[in-house]
Amino acid sequence: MRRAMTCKEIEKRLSAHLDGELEMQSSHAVQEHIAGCPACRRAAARLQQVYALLPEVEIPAPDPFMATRVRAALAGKRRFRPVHRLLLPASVAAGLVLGMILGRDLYTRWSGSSTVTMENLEVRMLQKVPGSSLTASYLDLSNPEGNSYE
Amino acid sequence: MQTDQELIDRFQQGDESTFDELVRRHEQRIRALCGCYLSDPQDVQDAAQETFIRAFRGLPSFRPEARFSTWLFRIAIHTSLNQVRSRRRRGWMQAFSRLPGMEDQIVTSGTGAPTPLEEVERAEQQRLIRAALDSLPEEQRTAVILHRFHGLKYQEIADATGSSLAAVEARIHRAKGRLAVLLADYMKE
Repeated sequence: MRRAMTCKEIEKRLSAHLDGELEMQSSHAVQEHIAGCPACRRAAARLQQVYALLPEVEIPAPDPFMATRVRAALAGKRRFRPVHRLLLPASVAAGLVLGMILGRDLYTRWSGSSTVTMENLEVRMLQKVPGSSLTASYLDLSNPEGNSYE
Repeated sequence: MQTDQELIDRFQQGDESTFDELVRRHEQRIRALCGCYLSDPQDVQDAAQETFIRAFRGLPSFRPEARFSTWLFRIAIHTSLNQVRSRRRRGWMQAFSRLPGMEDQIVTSGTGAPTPLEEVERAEQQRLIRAALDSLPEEQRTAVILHRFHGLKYQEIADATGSSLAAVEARIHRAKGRLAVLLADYMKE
């Protein structure tokens, strides 16, 4: 003879019973218990009310353009894919340019000059020239005030 | 009319045009489902669209162990939850209609139209019910949404969520129990 289910066992299966989800034999067992147990009958009544309190979900009107938008989105994702392939070389190029700018800045700081210009470079290169050289003559002509280049 | 599986078979044989018919058949329910997770209409639209995009990509390898609609629901749930998590916002869209069975509980002014006080009370009740639903753990809320609002059977919910039948049964039972406690004020003895 099949053992009668306890209230605790019945309670766990109440929702499934009320939702019609139990197989026939289990459903009959739960129904028989509820019929003879006021506490479980009250519990079943409470559970039945819960769903009745919940509002209905409105099913929205058809959207005739959903398929078109999905297609467009899929096509767009495919079309834009090549851009991603350019990101790596673009990043490398950007890194090189940035490195050159930073390198120039570091060189400037290391060399002590606030600005590296061709003029500065020329002056340093020509600092130690022989006094009788053509370069010295050029420097004299380009420096009438006699400013020191050192 | 061809069944979903027949359309899918044709799609898998190279006829991608059948996907449009699948979208047409299911887009309303998918938008309704996404609307159970997302409050902003644009977010709902985006989630539904993303659902179908993912479905298109997965359709070549779809196997008919579960119904297409159940599989689609699974994608929609994941997509919607991802969007919820990314926005760190949970809510219910305004698509919820009036509560059923409320009319006989409200004394109207005699003209048939609710009074302002009645409207306020009704709005507050709806807010509390939505808050109660929102307070459910994610898995329980998903189970209730699919069962109560979309009419799925427990096994279909198990398929849609990748869970066992026993787990779905337990979640729905616990969800109902929790809602019964939270909404006790609105329940008849």
